Amino acid sequence: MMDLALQTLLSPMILFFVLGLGAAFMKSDLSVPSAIAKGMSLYLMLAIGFKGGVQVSTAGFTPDLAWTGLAGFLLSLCMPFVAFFALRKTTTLPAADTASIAGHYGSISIVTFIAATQALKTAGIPFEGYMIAVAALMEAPAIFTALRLASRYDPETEATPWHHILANGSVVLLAGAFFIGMITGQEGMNTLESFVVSPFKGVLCLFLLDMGLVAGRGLMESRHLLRGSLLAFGLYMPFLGALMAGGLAAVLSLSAGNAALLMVCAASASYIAAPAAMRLALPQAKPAISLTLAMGITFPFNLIVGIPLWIALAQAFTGGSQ
Amino acid sequence: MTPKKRLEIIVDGALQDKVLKLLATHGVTGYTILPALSGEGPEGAWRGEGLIADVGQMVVILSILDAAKLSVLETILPPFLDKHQAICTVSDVMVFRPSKF
Repeated sequence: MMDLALQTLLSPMILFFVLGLGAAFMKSDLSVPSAIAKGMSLYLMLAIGFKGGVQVSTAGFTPDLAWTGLAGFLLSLCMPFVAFFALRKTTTLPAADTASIAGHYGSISIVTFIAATQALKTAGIPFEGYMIAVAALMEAPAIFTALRLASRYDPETEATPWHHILANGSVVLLAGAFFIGMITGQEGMNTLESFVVSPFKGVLCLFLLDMGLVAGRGLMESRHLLRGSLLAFGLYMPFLGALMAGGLAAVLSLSAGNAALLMVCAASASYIAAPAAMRLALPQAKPAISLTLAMGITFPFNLIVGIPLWIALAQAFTGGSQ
Repeated sequence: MTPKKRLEIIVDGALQDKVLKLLATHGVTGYTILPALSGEGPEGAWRGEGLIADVGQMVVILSILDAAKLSVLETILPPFLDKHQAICTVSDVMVFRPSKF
């Protein structure tokens, strides 16, 4: 466990993220233009989706794929209930803010997922390519649940922006690249290998530097919004999500690598798909609270502490099976 | 030159399409969108730099229109602005080709 934690902490990806955080805290003028940050996020989603699809084309459809997909879907659908009622019990936030945060924590952070796949590769723990499809499946159901909860407690909730949720750019690109990888298989990989494999880690480092800057600056500018029980939520909710996912992984007898990725997804909070949907359907909710919590607290926690912890727990849950 | 009104709305990028739809239903179909870099208001400071999602990236929607159209917007825009924490200003401008607006 300590070896894995040290290996993850001392990887270039995490160190570049910490550099970004440090630069933000010391008010450095270091910055990454939005257009470049967006371009890198598109590249990372294309590359990981494509590689996942190629792996599935080689391994073929298995019952594990369907069961793990169903487990991820149900987790995403149910987790907002846990988050919503935990926040209702422990904070005085209005229902709209509570539902919005619950939606963020039920959905997933694809960047955390990508970082976890790199940590697994470094640790030599195999995982299936279809886990990227499972991650894509976990983006939207939580948003649906959170908006249903909001409409029950707050009459000002607006109509569910279905098109925006289902056609969200990150979901379309991840799922699209996955299917393209599946259709073109190894031949497609031979064509794109120099684009999607070799530069991947370097781009991820630069992207995480930007995420560190954004997370650090968001935290510094909005830290007054996060107090006591709300701050604690950003740290204990990942444990609740990871434990729920770990339990499901044990029931489904998933491999340690797949279980770790399911736990990482459940422990992470969205800051791409969920915020946009919440902004449209819950205008009365304050995005600064949910975004600061997801990006400023949970994302760094998962990246620095969570990933090695979830991998170690996944090995314990599954008996280290590969 | 002909006098017109210049409508300027600063709003979260995620709400851009919603504002444009609202304007279009009240006959305002011409507009220009500009990115906003950073700022500070009653809700605190914000900066769009480095963000990968539309949320948190503010945009400025500009539209030049007739004063007659503005009277309709005066009734529908305030409730929207209250709910979505947007900023809206109107100023007098002069245009060379009034038929274009």
